[in-house]
Amino acid sequence: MSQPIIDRLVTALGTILLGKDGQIRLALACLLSRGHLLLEDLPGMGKTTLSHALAKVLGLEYQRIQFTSDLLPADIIGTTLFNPGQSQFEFRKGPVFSEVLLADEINRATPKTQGALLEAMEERQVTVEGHSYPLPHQFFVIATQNPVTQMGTFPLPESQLDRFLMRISLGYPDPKVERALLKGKNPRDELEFLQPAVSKTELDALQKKVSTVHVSDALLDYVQRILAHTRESSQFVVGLSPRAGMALVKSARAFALVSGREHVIPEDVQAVLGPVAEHRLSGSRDVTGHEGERLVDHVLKHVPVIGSR
Amino acid sequence: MARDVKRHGFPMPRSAFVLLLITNVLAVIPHLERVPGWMLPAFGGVLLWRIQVFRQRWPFPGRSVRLLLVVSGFAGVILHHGTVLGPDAGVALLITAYLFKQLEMVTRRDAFLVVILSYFVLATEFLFSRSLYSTLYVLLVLVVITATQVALNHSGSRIAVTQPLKVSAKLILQSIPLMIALFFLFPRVGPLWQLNLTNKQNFIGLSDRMSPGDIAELSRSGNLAFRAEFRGDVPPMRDRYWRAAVFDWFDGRTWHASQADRFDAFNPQDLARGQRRYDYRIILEPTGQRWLMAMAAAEVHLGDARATGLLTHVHKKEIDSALSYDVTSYPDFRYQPDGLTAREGMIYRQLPATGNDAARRHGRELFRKAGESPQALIESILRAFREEEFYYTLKPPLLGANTVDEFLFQTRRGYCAHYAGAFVFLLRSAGIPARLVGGYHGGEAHPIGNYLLVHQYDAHAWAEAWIAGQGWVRVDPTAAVAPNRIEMGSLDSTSDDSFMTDSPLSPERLRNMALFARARLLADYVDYLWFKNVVSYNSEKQNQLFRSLLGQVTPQRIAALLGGVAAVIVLILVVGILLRHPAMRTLDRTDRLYLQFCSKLARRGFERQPGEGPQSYADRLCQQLPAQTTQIRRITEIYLTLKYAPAVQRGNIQQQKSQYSGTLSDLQKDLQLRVRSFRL
Repeated sequence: MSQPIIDRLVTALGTILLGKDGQIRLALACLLSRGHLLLEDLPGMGKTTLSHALAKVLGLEYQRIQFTSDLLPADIIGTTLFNPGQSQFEFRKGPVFSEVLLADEINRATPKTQGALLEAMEERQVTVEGHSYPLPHQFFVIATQNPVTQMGTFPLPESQLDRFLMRISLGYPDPKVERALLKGKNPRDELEFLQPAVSKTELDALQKKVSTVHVSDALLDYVQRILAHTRESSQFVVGLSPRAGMALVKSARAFALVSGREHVIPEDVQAVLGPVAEHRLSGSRDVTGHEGERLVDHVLKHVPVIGSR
Repeated sequence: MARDVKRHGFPMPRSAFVLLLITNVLAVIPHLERVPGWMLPAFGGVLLWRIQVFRQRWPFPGRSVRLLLVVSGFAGVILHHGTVLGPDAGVALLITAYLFKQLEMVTRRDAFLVVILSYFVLATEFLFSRSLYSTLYVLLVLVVITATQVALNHSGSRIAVTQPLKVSAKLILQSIPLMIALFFLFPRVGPLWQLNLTNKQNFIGLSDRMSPGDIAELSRSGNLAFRAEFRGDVPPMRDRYWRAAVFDWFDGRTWHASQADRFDAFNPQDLARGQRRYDYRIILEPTGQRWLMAMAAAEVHLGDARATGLLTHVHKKEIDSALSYDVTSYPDFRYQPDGLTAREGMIYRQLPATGNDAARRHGRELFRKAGESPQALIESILRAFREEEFYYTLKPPLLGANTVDEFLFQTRRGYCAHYAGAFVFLLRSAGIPARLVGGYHGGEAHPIGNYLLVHQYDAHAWAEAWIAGQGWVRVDPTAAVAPNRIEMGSLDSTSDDSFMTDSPLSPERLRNMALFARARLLADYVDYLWFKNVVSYNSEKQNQLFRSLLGQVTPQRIAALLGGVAAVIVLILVVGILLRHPAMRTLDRTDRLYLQFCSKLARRGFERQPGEGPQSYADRLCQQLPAQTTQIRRITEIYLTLKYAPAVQRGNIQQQKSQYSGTLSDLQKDLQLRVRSFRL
């Protein structure tokens, strides 16, 4: 029942982002489990294209903010203005009040501005001058960022990275795809013709379906072995938190669904482990923010899939 | 690539190389004092070359260089030892070969050969020492060698040096129970071939001739001569004359050991034993001689020992490894009181035809003055030693042609051999039968064990005179000159500082430090227990053990015992492995079946990595084994369903695809059938 919808989504996205099937499935899994997505890569790798395509394909209304160092919290959340006609103050909602917020180059903004967005992400509401304004039912942040080593960036602190369910890198396209791009096929042009592949109700149903995907005791044993390994092995500066564990299981469920299964197998956990855990595992000593990749490799290699707890 | 291997060898893991270097050094260290001196620089040079080869700075030496090295190494050993036979030369040759093999260690196989050679070089240490400390050292090096082997097997991956060491230490520890069982229980068969291990140069101790200087040499050696373990009281200092050999022929300069022990058997009728007796056991260090130390008059309880007419005991062959034997001694004895044979009378009055004329005259004159009484003569000589200007020193001045004359009338400085020699000379000049006795005197009482430690510096010479009616009487002229030497032992008596200056760090120098002394004695005690209980364990003791364990010793019973012990060890290992791998215990049936499937594949080289999920494993397998795709997919599917799918789904899969009704155990049975019948 859900499989045709998912196939539709994957195919539609595949026409925009060529040859990145794995990343597309991961991004879908992230949004289906109602998580925020962080796309991290060098400029020009298709981060923005993917984020726009995701919003369009899911049929969600979206707004884009280009983060810069002079962007203020009010530019995101909105401002209270005096309306001379009615002689009273009124709140003018900012771009955050949309179903999908595309935050481009989030690490170019100052920590204060980042903080304002990340608070909204966590609480799914915005409080201005004692008055709370709820965000829409569907609310995703798809943020993109440049690697921290790039000039003029403010790296997101660990606590805020934690708000993103997944962090995905796109990587260079393979030669065939690149050839097509060089021949003149511009994915951005095709974005305009992209039609929503799901209805709002279908999307809701899919999201509900994620929580019914079966997780067996054997799988939870494996997840707990992974968590224990990150906490006990001397390789790790910080272990994975319980929140990270929950995120891992949730993502694995969504990924199983995207892969057409109604139960989670260890490969699902392994597939989402990198995106879910890498940005949470980087220790404070880690300058590049990519120590996590090595650590996740360590987990994948050393934690036995079969075994007791 | 191939050329590169030829120049720099196969890509050996760094940790393996480091361990191999350590192995080389550790295996050779105990032999360094025995091998020719040129070997140390050669060793360093070879290691340097090997390191440079490993760093890809230098190539391996060419054929002609290697040939030159081998030939010169061989020649070097022959020049140094004069032979290539015997343990010293053999080990030197082995080490030479071992060293140069490093320079041809091109392939992995060569590296393993070097490792095996290391075991062999290490084992040769037991040709020379079997003390507890060398055994412990050998065990330690064993760990390093095995670790090298472990590291060599880790090709490619970079691992820390400590990891193979841990693995190997574990292996060696696990093998120790087996080692012990085999040592005590494995039937001891006599060797099919035997090395002639006697190599007299090696032994420090008494020799069959005694000339000025010999005992002084020994006095500087802190090596152990033997231990004496007493049942009952340890005898007082005045009884501790450990008799080894009798010297009866004087050539004017040197006293020669009596040949009489070859011909004259001990005649029990000549000996009258006293009441007092000491029962003890001697644990003799290798001497290269045949003499057995004991206090006179002794009964040595050892099959290979023979009592001689000189009241000494000789062993059947040279003592080239530690030997222990029981002795009963009767200190109050009379020997040959009734008279000597004519031949004996001649032997014990022998003097060289010429030389030492003054001493001869002096002897005759003293005898006349003493009224022709042997006792009075002895008394007057001892009185002279005591009262005139005679000094006891271990560094006496050199003597010229007439040693006895010069000693008695000019230098008057000497140690036991000088005094005893001069004493016998004077008595023989007066026509009284006398002889020189060599052995040890004293010994250090061990505070923990009830035994005495007798060192080489306790070597001593004294005299015996034959007096009608009393027989042979022991006279120690040194006691007259240096009573302390006799009352307190050799070390405490000498105030001569030069005694120990030869080696500033010798144990003797440190001996005065109380803590060190205690540690040294404790170390000796441990080694003593080791020797007593382990090294001296032989086939005879093994038979006793078998008798006490089995009652009657038959091959069947021995086999049953060995089998039983082996079974117990295997059982312990199995239990240990199960306990160490809780995963194996708690795995459920499904997992075990799946792991069976994995190990079938692993045997064909398709091993599943611990972190590899079943689905990815199956994907990988299907690419490599297209023929088995269906089987592999099906088994993986059933396994994944059993482990990860909800019960409802399990039911579905069964109704679709198999004849079993939808219960868990039926799906398991299906898996079992498929895994059992799975063939590659």
